[in-house]
Formats: sequence, structure tokens, C-alpha cells
Amino acid sequence: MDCRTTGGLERNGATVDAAAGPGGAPTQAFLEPPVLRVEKLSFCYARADVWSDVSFSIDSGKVAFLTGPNGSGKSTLFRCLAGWAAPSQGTVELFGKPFDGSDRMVRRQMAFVPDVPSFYDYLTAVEHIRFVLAANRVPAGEDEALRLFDRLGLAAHGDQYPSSYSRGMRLKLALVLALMAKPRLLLLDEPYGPLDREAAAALSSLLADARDDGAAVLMSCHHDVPDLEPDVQLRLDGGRLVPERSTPDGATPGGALAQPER
Amino acid sequence: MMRDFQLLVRLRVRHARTFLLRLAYLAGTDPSVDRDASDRVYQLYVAGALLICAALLWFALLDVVEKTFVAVGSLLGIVAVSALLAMAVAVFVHWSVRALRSAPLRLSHPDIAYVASSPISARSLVMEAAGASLLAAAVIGALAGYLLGFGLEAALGGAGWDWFAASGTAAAGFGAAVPDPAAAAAGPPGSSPLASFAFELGEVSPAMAALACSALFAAVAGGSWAISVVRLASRRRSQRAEKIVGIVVACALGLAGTAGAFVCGPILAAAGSAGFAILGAAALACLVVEAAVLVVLSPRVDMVAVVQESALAVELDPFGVFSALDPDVQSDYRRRIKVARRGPVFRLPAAQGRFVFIARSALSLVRQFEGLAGLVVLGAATTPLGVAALFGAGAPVTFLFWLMLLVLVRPSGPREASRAFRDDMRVRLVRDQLPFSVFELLVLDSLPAFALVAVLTCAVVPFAVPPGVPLAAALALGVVTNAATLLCAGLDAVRMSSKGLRPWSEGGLAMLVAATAIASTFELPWLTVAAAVAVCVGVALIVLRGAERAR
Repeated sequence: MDCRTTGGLERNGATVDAAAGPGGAPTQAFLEPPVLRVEKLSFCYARADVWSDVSFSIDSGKVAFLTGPNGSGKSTLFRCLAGWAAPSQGTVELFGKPFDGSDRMVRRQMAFVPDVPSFYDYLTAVEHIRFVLAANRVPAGEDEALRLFDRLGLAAHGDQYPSSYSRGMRLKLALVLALMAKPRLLLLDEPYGPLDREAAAALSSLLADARDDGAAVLMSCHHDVPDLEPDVQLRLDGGRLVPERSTPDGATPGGALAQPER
Repeated sequence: MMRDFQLLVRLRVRHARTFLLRLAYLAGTDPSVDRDASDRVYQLYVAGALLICAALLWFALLDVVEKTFVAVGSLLGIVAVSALLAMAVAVFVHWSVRALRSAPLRLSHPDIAYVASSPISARSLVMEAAGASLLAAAVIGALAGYLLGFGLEAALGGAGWDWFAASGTAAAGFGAAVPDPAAAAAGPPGSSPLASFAFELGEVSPAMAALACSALFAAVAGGSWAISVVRLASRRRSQRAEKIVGIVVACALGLAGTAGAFVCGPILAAAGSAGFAILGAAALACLVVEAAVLVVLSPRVDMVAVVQESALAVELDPFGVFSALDPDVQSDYRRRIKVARRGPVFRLPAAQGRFVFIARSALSLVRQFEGLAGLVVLGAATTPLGVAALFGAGAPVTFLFWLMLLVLVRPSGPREASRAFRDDMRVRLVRDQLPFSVFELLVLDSLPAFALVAVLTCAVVPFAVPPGVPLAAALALGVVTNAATLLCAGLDAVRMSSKGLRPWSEGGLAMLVAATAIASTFELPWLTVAAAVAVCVGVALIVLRGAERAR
């Protein structure tokens, strides 16, 4: 089920090393399109623009933070990127192909965790994991998935319905379901908000591992993220996207809330 | 305590005001915002019109009651009195069982945060809520008692009013122009064959009957409150045992009371005013005892238990009668809460690949058994009705009834049968990881429900179709129709192309009804079956070739 080992890793007859880290081989940029590319994206509710002319791209093995004030449209942007909402203008490309949410093979290579994830009402948390693994005929993946489950602090609550979980626990379960698939693109909407300190540190470690494995990560955050430095910082404010910092070596002075230089 | 009580009464009046405002929305006005003179005139007009309609309905009801009692005679009076007593017993049992299972005191989220957590005493909370319930029960009892007394007086040849004749203008403008169906149905006085049975009825005025019944129903409500307060005031660990014992005792008393009602009914009817006076006095005595129980025990009520037991009602509070939410959304929300409270039963079977979907879907039917009613309706009623209509039973309008059952009736069979599939489409985080197409998910998820409805349909169809219809064709049509119904759910999950037309399940069901109805006009059973198969194939192709709709 490891999406990063399937498809999209060959271009022009050359094989790309998907395990390359943030400082990967220079030829990677020429051979592999960005995992996510957004061109002149706009979204409006009725006649009111939420944001417009949003353009950016994220390569594999990069972590991008998306910040912005409440109501700036971060969640809406994520929904458009995940194919859950239709932008009024612009294009979204995933793995070099235009994406409108209908391509199931592309969808299998990404995972979107919304701020309010939904689950089956009648399956327990562990049953969610087992169901997905069984559907993909990967029963051997259960141990790894349950390790993730335990690492995020849910081990004692596996036999409960997600509907009886707290908000933070529901988010943790959603993160387990997303991370166990090892997707090539992770879209996380406010993943750190409801997490406790230990779980936040564990998530940072998991996302760093995913980056090292070649995944691209885009997540929104309001507060300092422990133990994870972004490669790209984007700020959505006043209906525009402002890239804050982006350095080749991945270091971002000032942390996640660095303001753009004026 | 009086100050707390007054505060709670003011809060309840404020809630009632909000309710009335919502009623006004139905008339297109908001009294809290629309305050111009013209708006006020319109609001007065609406209120006046509603009051006049209510008054006319009441008078018409009195007229019906009078004419019915006059036609049937004293036997109806005895039956009515007995029925009223039996109804009081039944209501008492129902309310008592409900009060034993959950606290009758309902605290909304704001109530919990601002009222229950405040220094306002439990006694004030209980007495105010109980008082409101008793008042409502008393009003309902008074109305029922007045109607009963009015009928009894009429049966005795008393001064029943001819309301329409008494008001000449109203009669000329309304009553005289409208034929009186009640009089036509009842016939002339004493014309009913039952009128020959002469029973003794005592004289009773409507006002006396109203007072007695008002006290009776208030005592019934008070009794259920008293039972609940006794339970909630008990020590926590014994509450569950008391609940079970109480329910058993209430049911036993209910059975005995119902029998007693039909014994005491004739006696009460024969006793007339004196009997009703004794009934009223007994009810008032019960009320006094119940009030004493409430006053004494309410301070010891376990408010934590009250909050827990009323939690379900609290969660459903926003979805009241005038909620703007789709009824399907509301029922899904109710079910979600109940399933969460129920906890998991059985385990997800250890299947792999495609079989895990079938196993998961079957588990869904077991864990969400509320949906079985919809499947039973689909398999045992809706589809057999359609098959019968297609083979010539009933008028052509039967096709419309079939379509209505498919689309409008709740619980919705098609909706329940496709629940597992719709859940797959809803839980996108998991859906994106499932290596199957929309069509595959639709088929796999629907198999357990399809099996159930198919069995039910095959059991009922042989009795539903007209004689002379080949049984094999009827059964085949039933099975194929069920399959088409389930496949139509897939239309909600696809679009014709990546930016194309969006089909919808109700459209597919309408197409099924139309196509098979047209084919049935040729009166060739297997042609009708073929039409249903064609619809199945068409819908399947649309789902197969359509682009998955993620939004």
C-alpha cells in the first residue's frame, strides 16, 4: 500500500530516487514534476472572493507550512487541492497531471486530513484500520499501523467508536489512517491544533520521516510546530497567497510564524 | 426558592416566545424584527385568522360529537367514559415507563451550563418543570373532558347547542352552504341500531367533566414525575434495579388498570356529576400526595443522572419541529448518537479484499439495526407493490404510489440499502485508500441488503400479483427491480464526465418506474422483466463510466 513506491517515479526513461531527502540530487528537479502545483487558483462564495490568483508548487521531500488569520480561507484551499471543492478559476496539478478530484489513482497517492475528519459510525477505531488494510490485502501492515496508533496515544481506545472520541483523538485516528498509507502528498488542515504535547512531538517526527521518504507535506498551522522546520512557508492573507520563506537547505529562520520581509 | 422559581418561569416564557416567533416565520413574518404598523396589522391578521380557524374547528368538533352521541345514544357515552379512563391508564403507564428510563427533566446545553450549575436549587428546577407538564396535561384533559361531557349531555337529550344555527350570520355565510357530513353519517336522532340498547347515564355538565378530567390527567402526569423523582433521589447504585422493577410494576398496573377502567366506566357514566366529582376529588388527592413527594424528594435528585439521561434529548434539541435541516440529516444524526451510545457488538470479520466489504456491510446492518425497518418496507411492501402494479393490479395511479414509496416515504428502503455505500463515499479519508471503483463498491456494499430485500420480496410477491401471472416472471421482476433500486444509489456518486451532468438516484428510480410501466402496457410479463433489466444495465453503465464525484 506504500503509494510512494508506485507510479509517477519515472520520467523520460530515468528512474528517480524517491528516497532522496530535502537536499536530494540536483537532477531530481529536472526529471520529476512538482508533487503539487497550483496555478492562478481562485475561489469565491457567491460573488465574494475568498482568495484569488494563488500559485505555488511543492516538490517531493518538502514540508510547507500554510499560515494565515482565521477566516482567510486555508481550509477552503485545502479542499480545493484535495478535489473536495471546485475552484472558480485556475488549475491544480498533482504529480504532473491536472487534478479535479475524479482520478482515483491520483487520489490514492495523496491523503487529506481535514480539520474535522469523518468516520464510519459503526466501526471502531481499530476496525477502521483493519478494514482499509484488508481492502488493500495488506494484513501484514496491521502491526505498523497499530504502532502508529500507539505512538499517537490511542492504544487504549482502539475498541471504541470514533464518535465517542474527543476532538484530538479523532484527529489522531485520521492521522493514523493517512500516514499508514505512506502517501506521496499529505495535506493536513490544522493537525497540531487539538493535539497534546506528546502527540505533537510524535507527529513532527512522523512528518519528518515522511519527508525523508520523499513525501510532500502541506499543512496549515497557527502556532509554533515542535521539532519540525518547514522548507516553504506560505501565508494566506487578504485574499492573496504570500510566500514567506523558502530556502534550498530547508532552514527557515524564525520558525513557522516568520513574517514576510517588508 | 420562590425567586428561583420565578426566574425559571420567566425562562420558560421566553422559550415559549421563541417558539411562537418560529411559528410566525411560517406566516412569513418575524414579530421581533418586523415592527412597522403595516407589519403589526399583518401579524394581527394572521393571529386573528388562526384564532378564528381554531374556534371554528372547535365548534365543528362539538357539532360532530353532539350529533354522534345523539345518534348512537347512551351506549357510546359508556364506551367513551371507559375509553377515557383506559386512556388515562395507558398514558400513565407510558409516561411512567419513560420517566423510569430517563429523567423527565430535560436540560439543554445552556441549561446545564447556566442553570443546573448555578445556585438554583434542584427543587426549583423539578417543581417548575413538573408544574409546566402538569399544566399542559390539565389543559389537554380539560378539553377531552369537555368534549366527553358535551357528548354525554347530548346523549341525554340535553341542551346541546346548534352552534351554526345560533349564529345566523355564520350559518348563512358558512354553515348553511356546507352540507353537514356528521349529521348525514349519524342520521336522525336515535336512528342507530345501538340506540335501542338503553343504558343508564347520569347527568353531567361539560364543565364538571372538564374539571374532573383535567384533574385526572394532571394526576397522571404528576404520578409519572413522582415515580421518576423517587428513582432519581435513590442512591445511585440502586437506581438501575429500581428502574427495572418500576417498569415491570408499571406494566402490570397498566394491564390491571385498563381492565378496571372498563369495569368502572359504566359505573362512572351512570353516576353522572356525582361520579365525576368523586373522580375529580380522588385525582386532586393524588395530586396533593404527588406534590408532597416532589417537594420532599426533589432536593435529593441526582442532577448528574438527570444530565446524563437527558443527554440524548439534549443532543436532538436543535432538530425540533421547525428545524430547517433535511429530515434525512436529522434522522442520520439521531442514529449516529444512538449507535455511539450503544457501543459495538460483534467484530469485523477477518475477510480480505472484496469480501471485507460484504462483511463490513453486513456488520453495518447489525450494528445499525434501526435501518432494518426500511429494508423490510422495501422488500415486503414497496417492491411487491410495484410488481403488482406492473402486472395489472390496481389502477394506473398505483405506479405513482410505488414511486412515492421509493422516493418519499421514510424510513427509506433504497436509502437504507445503500447506506454502507454512501458511507464509503462520505468518509473520503478512507475512500481514497480503497482500491475499488465506485461500481465495485456499490455492488459489494449492497449485497447483504440486497439479499435481505430479495428474500422478503420473493416471499410476498406470490401473494401480491394477480392470478394468471407467471410466478417465475413475477419473482424475476421483483429481484431485478430490487437490484435496479439499489444500483440507482450509485448515481449520486458519479457525474457523466469530469465536469458533466450529475445524475441522481431519485431520477434513476423515476426512470425505473416509467420504463417498466411503459413495458407493462404490452401485457407481456417477460418484456416487463426485460425493461427492468435494461434499466439495471443502463444505470450500471452510467456508474461504471461516470467520473467519481468527490464533491
